[in-house]
Amino acid sequence: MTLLAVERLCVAYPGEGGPVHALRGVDLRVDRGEIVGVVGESGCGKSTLASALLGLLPPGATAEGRVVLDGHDLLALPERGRRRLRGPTVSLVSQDPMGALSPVLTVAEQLCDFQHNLRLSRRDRHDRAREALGSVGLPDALLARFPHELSGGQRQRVAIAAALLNRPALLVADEPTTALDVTTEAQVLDLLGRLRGDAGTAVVLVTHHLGVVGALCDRVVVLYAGEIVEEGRVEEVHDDPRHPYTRALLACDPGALAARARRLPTIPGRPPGLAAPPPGCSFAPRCPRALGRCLTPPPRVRLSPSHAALCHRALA
Amino acid sequence: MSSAAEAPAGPAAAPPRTALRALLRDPLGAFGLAVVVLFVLMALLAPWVAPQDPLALDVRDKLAPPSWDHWAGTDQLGRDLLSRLVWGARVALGVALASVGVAALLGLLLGLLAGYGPRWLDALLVLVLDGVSALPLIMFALAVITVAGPGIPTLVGVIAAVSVPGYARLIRAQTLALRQAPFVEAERAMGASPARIALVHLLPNVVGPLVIVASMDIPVVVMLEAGLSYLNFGVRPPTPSWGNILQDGYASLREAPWMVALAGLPLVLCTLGFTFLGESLRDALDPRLRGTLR
Amino acid sequence: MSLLEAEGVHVGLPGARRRGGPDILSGVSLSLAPAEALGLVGESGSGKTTLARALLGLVPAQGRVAFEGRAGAGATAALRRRAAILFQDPVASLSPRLSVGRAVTEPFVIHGLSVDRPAKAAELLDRVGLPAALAARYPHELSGGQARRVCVARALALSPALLVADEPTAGLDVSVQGEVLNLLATLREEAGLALLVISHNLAVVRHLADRVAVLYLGRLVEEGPAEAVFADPLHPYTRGLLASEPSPDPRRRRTQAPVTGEIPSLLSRPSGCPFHPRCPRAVARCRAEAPALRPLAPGRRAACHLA
Repeated sequence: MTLLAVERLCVAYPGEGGPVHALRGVDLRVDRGEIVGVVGESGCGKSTLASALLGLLPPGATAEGRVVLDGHDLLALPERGRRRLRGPTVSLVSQDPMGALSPVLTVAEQLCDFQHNLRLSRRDRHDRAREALGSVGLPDALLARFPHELSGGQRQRVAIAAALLNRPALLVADEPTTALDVTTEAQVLDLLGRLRGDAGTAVVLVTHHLGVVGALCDRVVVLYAGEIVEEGRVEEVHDDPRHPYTRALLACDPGALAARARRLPTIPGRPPGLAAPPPGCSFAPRCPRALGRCLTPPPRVRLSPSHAALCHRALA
Repeated sequence: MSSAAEAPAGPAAAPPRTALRALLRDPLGAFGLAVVVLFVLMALLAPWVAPQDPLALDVRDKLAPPSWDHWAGTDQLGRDLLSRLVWGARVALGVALASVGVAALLGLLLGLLAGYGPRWLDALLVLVLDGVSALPLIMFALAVITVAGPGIPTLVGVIAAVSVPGYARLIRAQTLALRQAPFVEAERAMGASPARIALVHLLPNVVGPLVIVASMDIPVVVMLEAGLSYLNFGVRPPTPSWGNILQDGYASLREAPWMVALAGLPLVLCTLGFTFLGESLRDALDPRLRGTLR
Repeated sequence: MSLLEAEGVHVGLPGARRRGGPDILSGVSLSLAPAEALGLVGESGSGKTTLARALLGLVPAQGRVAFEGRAGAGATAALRRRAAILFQDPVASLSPRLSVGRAVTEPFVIHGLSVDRPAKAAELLDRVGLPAALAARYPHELSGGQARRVCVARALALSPALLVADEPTAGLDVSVQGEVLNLLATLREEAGLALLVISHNLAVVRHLADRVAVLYLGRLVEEGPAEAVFADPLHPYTRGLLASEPSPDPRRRRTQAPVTGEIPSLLSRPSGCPFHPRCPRAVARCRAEAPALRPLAPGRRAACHLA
């Protein structure tokens, strides 16, 4: 059952030399209860995508296409309509939990405040806050604390609890564990995995860390220069990556190398500037397998019902 | 977080050329610049610009209204008013630049010492500086001048002394903030001495706001000097100062009402000019505000 | 003869009393041979950054630190000339009003060595693969990657014997991490440079370091050859760290986080073994008595009662 359908989404920001095309025709489908990973490096557009899913693109950004969430097209709705969806239908957990929580409110006050659009008594809201904290494995004692008194991991869990207060159908997590220690990260990833089972929440997990994708996601899309260059089930993409960028990304992961290497692989060059996107394949300048025809836009090649890659040589 | 492979990191410090252009685009800033240049030239070239000798007496022709001989008229001792005003610019700007300059230099030194030196020195300096800034300015000025006698050096000294704490505090705050900066630690790790760090690495980074604040203080000091001279505690006659010319004008208000207006005009104009210039300069040099000036 | 030797390094919390008060680091002893690469691994609160600074004499510390055979003040002076440190934020490590050319030749001026600054700057920039034209630029005009290389160039100015790299891959995308790591490895081979790499990223340390030391809450809990420690960790914390690292392979998905709980605050240090509240194998002795770091195999030490 499709919860989120993003169709031909293009987002551009105003820039000094002209508009910068952060997203260029992104299609994404998320079913209820699914965990989809959006993987990419700096400047690929993944944060823009996360913002678009919440209808929170910055002023000045132009967007085309459709972002249909639970039947509502976020881009076509006025701000009032989008605000009604935030919280109950979609919510956000971002990288920096300190930024998400008000420093002058206690955890309890914050969690109660997030429920402002529900018609509930103060006692009910407080009860739900306690419940939410418990569901992320935190003790009641933290209700009276301020954000700066909590550790990074605790803060992130409070942010997740807050995001889940209104039982959204979709949770957008933008680099939720990047700022955490690896032992804490493991716990937060476990928590996110359990959410699906408990409440049937779908998760769009935006990250640059392939390990996070492997640990948590059902499906993954790989974003490069504002386009989805490969998508599929995590096993498919991991075992048989068909786009050279995906392949290179997997190869660069230091943990992927079985033995100690003298030199670590890198991808030479830089992603293209998006003020004037290249006409053909955006990865061609850095691709070890580029041919003449890569100067023309590559086709989206379907490799299996769930696996596709945007490459002239996907089948070769 | 992300490596931002191509984008330069951090806000760009505004280079002087674009700052100047931004300044000129602002009408008030351009006006201020023009006025300041005018007065600076007037002060520098006073001996050549002034039509007559400001000290030349012509008692028969006293309190004469503006005429072709005397464009601004004469004062109560028959001296050409315009020439006195032109020379007054020299006094006003001379005192202002000297006292602000001395105060800024001293403030810079003390601020760096307090901010980067040992903690006990900081505590001591802060105590002293707070003490000085607790003194009411005019009273302090009057007291010193009563003891030491009026005159330009005393004036410059007094004004500088009361201005130092403000500058020192500013520099100290900036220095304290930068003390923990990674590049300072990097220099320490390379073995740089505290003196080198303070002079080569901290000073250029803290001096910016000081320049702006100091330039905004110039009109204040011009007013201050005029005020003290008006009260006969500043520049002594017969040396012309806009302040004592105003005093003369006030004394002759009945017979020569134009004197007060004409004496006040350069004072007001000069102060406004410096103020507009200073504000425009501050806006132009602040990289965060540059976008709004477009 | 070891290049760097530390014994019983202790760094107290600022404002705390000398002995018995809360500390950031205590009882840390390790050594580094010439041209060797040692990785310092730990999470936040482990004290690895403080340890690096204590070894270089940038932070007041007790204990003995000897560099090239000299101890005390002599060591500190020698470290300023013969050791260099790369900080986490490369752009912030460069003095904002100094051009790149002047920044990389700064060490010469500091130590009173005369040098043809423009020529030397060009040479140093070339060594790290940057064009000589960059010498005229200012730090805020550089990209993160360029700034990082400039810092490396500056670190190499006086041909140091030891290079300390604090989180060399922080903020870098995976596809470019290799650039800085490969550069360090190359420089190490070319110049016989000893490396002290501080990182929370185990995989990075594994590829760059010969030996690795694991810190937890200011205590050294394990130390040994990198390959051996990664293949067969002796301390439960090391084991937990390695197991917690998420793998891109979905088949290696864990069902449960290997290490629960959070790193305790330095102010409420657990009694006995600092890791016992989170350790799956803790017994009563672990709470009562702090284990000593003892050799458990040739070249390998661990601080665990049960190892």
